[in-house]
Amino acid sequence: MARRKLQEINAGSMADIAFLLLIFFLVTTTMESNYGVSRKLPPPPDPSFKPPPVKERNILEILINRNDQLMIEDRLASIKEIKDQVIKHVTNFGKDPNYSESPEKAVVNITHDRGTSYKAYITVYNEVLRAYNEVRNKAALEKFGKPFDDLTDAQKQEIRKLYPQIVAEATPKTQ
Amino acid sequence: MSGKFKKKKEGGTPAISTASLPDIVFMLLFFFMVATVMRDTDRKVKVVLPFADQVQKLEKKQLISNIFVGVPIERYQKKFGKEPRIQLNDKFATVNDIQAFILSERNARREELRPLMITSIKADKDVSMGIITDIKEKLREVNALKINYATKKGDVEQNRE
Repeated sequence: MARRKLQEINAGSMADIAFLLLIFFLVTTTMESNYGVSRKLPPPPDPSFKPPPVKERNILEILINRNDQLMIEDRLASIKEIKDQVIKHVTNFGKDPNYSESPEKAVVNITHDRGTSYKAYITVYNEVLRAYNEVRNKAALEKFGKPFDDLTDAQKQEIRKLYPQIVAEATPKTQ
Repeated sequence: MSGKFKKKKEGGTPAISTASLPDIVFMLLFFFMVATVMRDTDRKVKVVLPFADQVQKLEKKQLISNIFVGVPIERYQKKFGKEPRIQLNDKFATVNDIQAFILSERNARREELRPLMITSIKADKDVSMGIITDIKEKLREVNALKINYATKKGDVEQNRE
């Protein structure tokens, strides 16, 4: 018997198959990626726990009302002022009696109404984060000569300890 | 000799070889497989995320549970009204369903991953903070403390529009 030559598989339809798969993936998937501002909530309140007293000067009060108007420490303010105020508050080191005693004690308190819009809240929270990131970045540059994002985890922890981010949120008053 | 220098009999342009077409298409295919993620749930509420620029990227999708908040899309407005609602998985829900949702999400993960879970709140930029506060309160009660407000990457000035 004569041996038949091994026949080559026709690869002409390979492109069609690949196109089919491609179109399937195009339809069923999305490009969206998850970005967002992270936050850690305080643990549920323990009824027997009494919060330690915090001095008035250590709290920077930011208030957003239901019309998305902004108040920092009892005076009307704009969004652009938040960052400078927070930086001044955190890096005061006890100089100005109206601001914090030290970065570890500095608290930023955001109070909002139930009617405040979500975007206003995010805007304010984003500005507070920006202030903290700027302060930490500066500290990282001074201490390690590198921006905060390029540090190792241990170094980041050290900076975080120097400038802890204490953002409190008051429970909004009902209506 | 004459055989070596035979003139081509057929003129015109030769056909373009399509042999590399599968390779090209496969390359595209792999690009899309890597760069995109599977669409997971049907959105029943309209969510336009606010902008923020101090953002972090959430890498591990398996650790994230999503809570959508927004106005129901038109198809559902007759039944559910035009007030912002919460969507968990594929269903409309109320604030009281959140705890059961978080517990079931927790049970679906391996034990060592449970402390790392993040709840991503994907809320429309125009909802009021009341509903968000209620959600956060419920999350605190079940100790789901790591949350993330989903935003688009961009200047906060764009939130004013």
